[in-house]
Amino acid sequence: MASSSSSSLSRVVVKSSDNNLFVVNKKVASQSQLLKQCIDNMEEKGTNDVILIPLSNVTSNILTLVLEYCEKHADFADDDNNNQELKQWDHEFLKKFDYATLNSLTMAADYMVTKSLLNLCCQFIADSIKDLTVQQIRQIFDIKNDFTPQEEADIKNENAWAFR
Amino acid sequence: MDMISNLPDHIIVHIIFSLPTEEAVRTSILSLRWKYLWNDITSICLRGCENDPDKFANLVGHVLDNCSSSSFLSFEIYFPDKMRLPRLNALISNALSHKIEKLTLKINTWFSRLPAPPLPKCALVCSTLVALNLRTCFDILIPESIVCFPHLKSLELCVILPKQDSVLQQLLCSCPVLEKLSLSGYLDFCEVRKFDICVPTLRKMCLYLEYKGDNLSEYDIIIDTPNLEHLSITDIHCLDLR
Repeated sequence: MASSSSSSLSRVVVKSSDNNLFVVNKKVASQSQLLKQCIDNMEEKGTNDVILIPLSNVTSNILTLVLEYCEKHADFADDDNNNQELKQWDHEFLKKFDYATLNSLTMAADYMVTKSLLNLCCQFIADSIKDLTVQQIRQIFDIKNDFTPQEEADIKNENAWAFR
Repeated sequence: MDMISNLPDHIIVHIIFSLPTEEAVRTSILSLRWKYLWNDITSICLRGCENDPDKFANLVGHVLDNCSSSSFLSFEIYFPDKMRLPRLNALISNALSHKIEKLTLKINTWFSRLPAPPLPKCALVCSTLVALNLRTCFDILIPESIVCFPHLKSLELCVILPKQDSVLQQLLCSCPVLEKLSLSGYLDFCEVRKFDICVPTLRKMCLYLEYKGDNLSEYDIIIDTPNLEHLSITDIHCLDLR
């Protein structure tokens, strides 16, 4: 906790990689450990100015989505983690996106240290590839099969149980 | 292009962790880069209910032999019906040599013929366990003086309660930091019908007591747990609890 003598910021400005500015209130921004750390540092220094946090890795499209997520979760910040309404919202939120968007959102969640969003994205991707064939998974992840036919056969033989 | 690409290894590993264990192992076939990524998983859950025992044992062996982590957080395993006990004990021993903190075992067979199998010895000497959950009815036969769970905080047992009440207390005494105890006990075969539950560190306790016959009239449970915050006792025959 910041001591009572230091300043208290109510909002910050976040800048996307394509130079768009987003005004974000502190409670929402605190869902991201990266933003929270910046805020805490500034408060410790006693700054009263609104601070600008540049995010060089996140485009405004994706930042809008991350902030939408953070806003929703800030509303539920005092509830326990098992809130059914929030879980439902999380699911509906991710369902809308294609793989490319999920990809960027996952990277942004990792970069901005928004752990619950990262967990959510990874679980969502895992669930969506769970019952697919090896070939389908390679396509989704843009994986080039660099095994020799012999190596691939060996792996399949060794773990015959896994490749029914 | 609608695809997932350029994810760093640590995020891919995170996705692999979110898969069921069998699916995680299967990702080793995708490419050279993916071949070993699953080896870092920290939580294993294997359900062998529908497999045949040989295949299942191979799977468990393969997972354990290849996991690089020496600090599994969790190992949940459901054994298939037909697996015999010596094999089961061998598998559990292998699992526990990996410094597991959480162990859940379920065998989907009701051991209809008595005696029920004793608690697996290897589980009783696994000093790294923090949580132990045995969902199959084991006989609570404990070899003298080998039990010690210095870190065990949560114990869930389904047992045939012993002929001598001291056995239960002996088990509880070997858990110096136990906080949560959930005990489903079958009373049919106990002769003493008096149980001391004395655990100074215990905060939460659930007792569920059951017996098949109708010749049981009374039993005593003496609870000495000064730090208890939550207590639930269920007797399916609704005997007076004193």
